[in-house]
Amino acid sequence: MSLLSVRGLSAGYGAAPVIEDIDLDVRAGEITVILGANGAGKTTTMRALSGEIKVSGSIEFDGTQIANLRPDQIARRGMRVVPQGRGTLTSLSVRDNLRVGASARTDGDIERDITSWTDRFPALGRRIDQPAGNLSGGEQQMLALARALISRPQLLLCDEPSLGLAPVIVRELFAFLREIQESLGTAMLLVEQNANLALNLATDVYLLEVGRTVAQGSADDFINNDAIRRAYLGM
Amino acid sequence: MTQLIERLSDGLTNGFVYALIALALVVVFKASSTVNFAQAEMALFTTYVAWWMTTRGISIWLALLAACVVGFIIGAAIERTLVRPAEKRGEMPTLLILVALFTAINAIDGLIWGLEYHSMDGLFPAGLDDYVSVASARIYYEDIGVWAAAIIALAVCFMVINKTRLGLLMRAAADNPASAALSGINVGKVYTFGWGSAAVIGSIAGILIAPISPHQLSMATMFPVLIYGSAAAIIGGLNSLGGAVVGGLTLGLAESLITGYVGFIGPQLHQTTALAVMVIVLLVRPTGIFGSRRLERV
Amino acid sequence: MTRESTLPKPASLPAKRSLMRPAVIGIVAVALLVAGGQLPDFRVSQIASMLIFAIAISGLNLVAGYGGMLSLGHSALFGVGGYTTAILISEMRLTPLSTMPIAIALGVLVGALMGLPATRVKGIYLALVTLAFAVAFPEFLKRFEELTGGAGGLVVRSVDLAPPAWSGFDRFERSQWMYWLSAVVLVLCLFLVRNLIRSRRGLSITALRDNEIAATVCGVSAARDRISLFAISGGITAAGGSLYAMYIGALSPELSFTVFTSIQLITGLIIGGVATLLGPLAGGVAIVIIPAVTLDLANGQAYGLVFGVVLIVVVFLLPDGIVGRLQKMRVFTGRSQSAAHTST
Repeated sequence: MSLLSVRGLSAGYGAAPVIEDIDLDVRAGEITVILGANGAGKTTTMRALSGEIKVSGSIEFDGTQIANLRPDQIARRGMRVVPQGRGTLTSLSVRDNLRVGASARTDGDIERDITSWTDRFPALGRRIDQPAGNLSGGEQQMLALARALISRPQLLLCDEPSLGLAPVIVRELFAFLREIQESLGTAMLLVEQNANLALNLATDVYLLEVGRTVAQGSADDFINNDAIRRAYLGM
Repeated sequence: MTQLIERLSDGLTNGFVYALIALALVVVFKASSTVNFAQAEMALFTTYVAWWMTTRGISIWLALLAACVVGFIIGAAIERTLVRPAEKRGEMPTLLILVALFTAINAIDGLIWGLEYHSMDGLFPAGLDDYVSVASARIYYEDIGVWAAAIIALAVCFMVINKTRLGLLMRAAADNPASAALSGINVGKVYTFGWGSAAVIGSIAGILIAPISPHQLSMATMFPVLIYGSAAAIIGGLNSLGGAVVGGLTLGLAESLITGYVGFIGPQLHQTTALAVMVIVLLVRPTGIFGSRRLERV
Repeated sequence: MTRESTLPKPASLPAKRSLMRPAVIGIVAVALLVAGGQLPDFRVSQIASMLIFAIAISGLNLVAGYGGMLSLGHSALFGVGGYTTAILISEMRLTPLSTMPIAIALGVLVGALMGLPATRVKGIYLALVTLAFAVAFPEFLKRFEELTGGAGGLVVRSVDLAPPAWSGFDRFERSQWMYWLSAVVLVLCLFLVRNLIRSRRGLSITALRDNEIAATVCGVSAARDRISLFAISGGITAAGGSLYAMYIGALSPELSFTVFTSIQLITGLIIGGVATLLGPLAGGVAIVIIPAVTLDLANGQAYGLVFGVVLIVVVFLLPDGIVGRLQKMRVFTGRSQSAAHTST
């Protein structure tokens, strides 16, 4: 069953669309990845899905149409984004960053969840009352993930989570994403340039080229298809 | 010595009012990255509303409450209907809208309530004998009342901003609007609330200053307050709430001491002096004394 | 605010046409002026004040329109021109015309001073800095009372404002004289603005407005260009102020030189059209007509409100202003591109 079902999605910034007529499905509880080179329209796709830019076409999330809703409305429906650049609220403390992530929740367990996230990421726990701008890039990426996940979303969108991080941290990050998916059943849509790691993590794959999907299939198909591998993934 | 204490007392009273207006300007700046030139005129309007109610026999405290409610509605409405659409057109159109509101609101006051000076009853006793003596200097209850009211108002503001969920949303929306929206915060609503709250702070400032202003309650009452308030906000740092308070108090005290002791400036160059300090601060340290690095939202 | 391209167009127009246009414009202008001079005295006087404000606004246009920097301080520049002329006439016994160069020179000086901060701050901060000038000016007038008459103001005797003998006007024809004088000064100012904007300097000024980083990378000196822009702007607006003093004969800090005057000039500029050559003329007409029309409303108290409302309406509904809109509608010539170019 598809949690997110996108049909004929086009979007852009000026007159000319950057992405055109994209179809995309994310299955509940599974990890889907969008691969593509720089300028293929990956980030535009993310911004279109999260409501940051106007779109044409259909975006159905959890059975309802969300195309052209505001970002905050989409976020409150259970789809959260870890944006490129991490979206850290730099002047707010780490704790307040997490509270902002949980601000749409109405239950009383928020503070307890904050503690459990800082237990999971001790680096965040150590600086819980410091401005989040003081964190390192990797720590800010963890904070961005925790800020999104603390809202208990059904679907997590990650825009190039590995960007600018050291390889060892990237591996840690991907292991963590796997762990979340397995333990919480959170579906994920990842945009990545690091095809190698992404293919190991994902079950479904879309390949984007100049604003269109040029190939789709299971991660295994991609790994085993020599033509695709050589042509698009360079490995 | 006596004179010094009385001057300090005067300066502190004005300083607290400047601090309130500066705080309102900072709250608006954090929402819309602009300086609300109409802030003080909005406050003047609600002060007139309060004064008008007192002339109808309504208690000044009730009138204060009503002025705050009216202020909130006006502030929120201006953000929603004028400022936000103007922001989409750029910085210059936004400034133009605020400048237009500045004249328009002032003119509306004149149209409704006339050009004459009205004497307005304050919130506190203001008789000739209502003072305490400190080292033979007289400190009037009126001044003490203004200090107390301003301190309470400032404390409530800081509590709301730093300790409540609403304040958290405001800080998040000011820090990184795009990211706040992706976290489910309706940033537009938060900004509207910010403008409303700023107008409430302004209303309090207006009602505190009008009874003791040299212009009493008239169309000229709030313009100097805007000048000092914006100078205070710039000096403290346009995005620093604490800076606004420090800036306001400093300017109030400096004004009173400089006028008293520096002959050349005398009583005429008040505002010029405050603005000269502001310009120097802007040139030397554009983020103000307490402001943080990121001054312009990109 | 979006504007038409200011790129120089290739020199492809037939020579005949390029001579025709200025000739036609010149003839029409002179005809209008002569016709204007035939109107009843109070009309001529009113038109003179429109021309004077048009001069002041064209100075503001340099900074706010072509430079993209909103100035709230032009009331001070206007006042510098006005008070210089008034003081020189009544204290130094100079003839009105001979005070103009000095008024302009002081305007240039104060303008440059105002432009200094523009090299470091911009946008809202620059607006506040210029506001400081607007607020300081009347305070300085009151501080230096011996020279300026303080809050009471300064009155120039009307005999001292009589037209010069060579003009052919006698002292009862001052309106006519001011009308012609203002018209000539306005034409000179517009000519100056037009040539400045078309020059290399003008190109770098608009480049700075549109993209500062790109412009400075291309070798444009932001500091020098902004200061000189403010200086020339100050000179032009002070010329307007100088004429205003000759026209009105009585100056007072609170009536003519507060920040409200700046707002009037800004409103005029926005109504007429920012960064258009003739926008200030339309703006001058507008800011004279608005108070005249609203005089009957609520004892004249409504005009501040009308200014505010008109400004808001124009920002949202007519962002290019009257002249900018006409240019887009290709009213001035058949070809919008060259129309935009010639009048930019």
